[in-house]
Amino acid sequence: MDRKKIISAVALVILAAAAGLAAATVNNCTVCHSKLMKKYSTPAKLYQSDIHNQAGLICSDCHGGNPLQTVRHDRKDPSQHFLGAPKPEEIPAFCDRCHGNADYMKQYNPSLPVDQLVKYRTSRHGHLLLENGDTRVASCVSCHSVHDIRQVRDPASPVYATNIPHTCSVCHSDPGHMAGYGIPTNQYEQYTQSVHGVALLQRGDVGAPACNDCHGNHGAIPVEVLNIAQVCGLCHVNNEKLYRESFHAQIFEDLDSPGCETCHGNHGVQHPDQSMLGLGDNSACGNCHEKSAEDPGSALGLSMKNVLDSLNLVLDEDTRLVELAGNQGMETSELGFNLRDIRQSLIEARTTIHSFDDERVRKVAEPGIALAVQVRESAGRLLGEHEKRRWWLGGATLVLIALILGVYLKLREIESR
Amino acid sequence: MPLKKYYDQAYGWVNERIDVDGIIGFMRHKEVPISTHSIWYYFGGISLFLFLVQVTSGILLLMYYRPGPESSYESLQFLVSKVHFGWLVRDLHSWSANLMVLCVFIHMFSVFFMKSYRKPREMTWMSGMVLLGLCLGFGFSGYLLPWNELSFFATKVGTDMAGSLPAVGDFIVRVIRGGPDVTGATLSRFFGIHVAVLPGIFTLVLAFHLFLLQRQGMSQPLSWDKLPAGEKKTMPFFPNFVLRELMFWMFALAVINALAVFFPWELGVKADPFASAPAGIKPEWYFMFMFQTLKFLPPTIGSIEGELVGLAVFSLGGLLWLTLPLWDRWTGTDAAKARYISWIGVAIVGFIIVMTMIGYALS
Repeated sequence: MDRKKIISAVALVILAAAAGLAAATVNNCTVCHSKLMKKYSTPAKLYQSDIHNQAGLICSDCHGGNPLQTVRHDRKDPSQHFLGAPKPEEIPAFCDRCHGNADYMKQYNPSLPVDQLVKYRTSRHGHLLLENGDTRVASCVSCHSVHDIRQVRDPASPVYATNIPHTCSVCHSDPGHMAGYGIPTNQYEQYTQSVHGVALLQRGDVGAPACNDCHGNHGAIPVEVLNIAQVCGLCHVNNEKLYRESFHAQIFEDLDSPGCETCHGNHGVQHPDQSMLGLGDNSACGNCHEKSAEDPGSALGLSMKNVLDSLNLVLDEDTRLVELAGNQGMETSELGFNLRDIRQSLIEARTTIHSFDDERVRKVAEPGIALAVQVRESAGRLLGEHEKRRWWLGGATLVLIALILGVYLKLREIESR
Repeated sequence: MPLKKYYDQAYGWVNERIDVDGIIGFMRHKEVPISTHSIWYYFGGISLFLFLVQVTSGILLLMYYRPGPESSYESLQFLVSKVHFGWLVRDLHSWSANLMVLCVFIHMFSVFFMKSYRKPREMTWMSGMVLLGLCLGFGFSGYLLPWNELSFFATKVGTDMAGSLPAVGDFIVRVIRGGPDVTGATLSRFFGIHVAVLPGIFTLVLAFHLFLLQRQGMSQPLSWDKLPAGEKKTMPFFPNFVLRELMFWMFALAVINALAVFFPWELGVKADPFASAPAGIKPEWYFMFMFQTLKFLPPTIGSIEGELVGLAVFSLGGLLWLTLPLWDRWTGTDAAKARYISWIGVAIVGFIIVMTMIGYALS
């Protein structure tokens, strides 16, 4: 083979490879769809920010068809394997082709669960869609959106922690949409006012629970009466443990009364304080018990309230005294640590009320109360010390003034000679 | 009266050996001008008194202070909360340090406006400028010693500035800090500089400054140049001026006592090198005008880093200020020309006050 032939062959191979590479990266779906009317061009535009696009997937990976084709695709041509847009009831299975395949998903994200469809089938949404054919219920794209799907940890994602309540509320707060399902539509409004909602939505504390933390996400179901303590206990571990060990747990179960919810409510749960105990207007005991000191339940609540009130009172007073001493320039950092210990004692005592055992609450509060007495004495000593400093200053200033006066008189005497 | 007898005996014994009478005689013959500007003569002496308070309180602090990231803050906490009058010692040290810098500044500007830096007092001016520089060095090195959050990050920012110098910046920062970051090594060397290096140098320069003052006497006000000899009023340095100075010293002591009781210095939160810098980090007030000016500069001026241009201008300004007696000769005795120099001084004072106020308003 002469030299010219070898060079020509090599050039041909290079050209063929380049053409093949160019063809492989061409996605004619977006080329054509970008020029079409809004309904067809929007997906092409949105897809630029989609996580699947970033992973290198193109339209045909989900919708089938031939991206190299430069003419209008033929839906009926089986050789093109064109799937088009799935119907609402087809969406879960459509996504599951990849997201339910562990072998396939591990190349992109080995830690991503692949049981979404399995869970979805167990959810109320899944039942209604897949068994009853109710297409108004949520499927994958209702929450994750479509063509601009983002990672869950992306703050712009509709399923990012702080966006979840709003995403759920799109359907669940719409009376028209929810008509016929027999559930209220004020959950979002209640949640935004709740201690959880304020923490998540106003303070941006992503550790605070959103809808999915109690109800689940892909397997979303209403929390059953007997499961409530278990759900709340996922975060409030000690409260749940104490409650389960208490006599109230059995009584509530017998009455079919939801454990935590009976006293704290659900979506609108507020920051609890001592006023929930005893006989006052805000008393949760009064939901079931007679608001009277004669009633054993109310009397128990009142007894626990008195312990917490005592501890709270001494903590407030000690805090005031320590701040006063600090503002006067006294060294109070050690007392600051003590105040923190008293506050911790109060938190533990508040938790212990879920045992519904006033003696136990008292025992937990006792170290805090004893420490509070010490702090009060120390703060009092510091304030006394500050008072002494003023007297000391007064004495020193008087001495200095007397000396200045003495020098001045001596000076006058010298200068008058 | 036996007490008077003992005093006379002791005085006679010392006088016989070191001629105290000669020293007092010298001071009696030394004259201090009496004019409307006499009040400014006392600020040098008050600065000296505050320095003595610094030395005394500093020695007392040394008995409890233990330098180190794990002990500096704790030892001061112990001192102010457990030791009798420990709080007073620390507050006197802090307040007298700040007032000393203030008095040195007032002293310097009064000398400037009274044109007392002129021949033959060029060396007195320059040694005074060196003392001012040492005072600022005391302030900068002492600020870190409590090892609290504010001082830690202020030192970090302050030493970072040296890093903007081309070529040698990184090296200088490493030398100052004892490493790339502000750590225990920085604290150790700042402590050494604060309690050994600076006091040694300061004492020598101060002795030279006072020696010059005694040799040359107090400078006369400019207005005396045209005054007939009979109208120039003076008072003896001893005892008249010394007793007046003593009154100011006692007044200064009463003021720092009151400040210590009513405005004690907070110990703050212990420094955490791994924490992010808290809001409101600011240097000591006497560095604030420079800090704020550098903050106002754009990132680059021409092709040069803005901060570097600022430092260069401040350095050049400092050099011109130090060498003032050498180049301020063209004004001579011409009052109109001398006024130009005074206006420059007014502009500098105004700039320092305005930038300091802006710095505090914005922090």
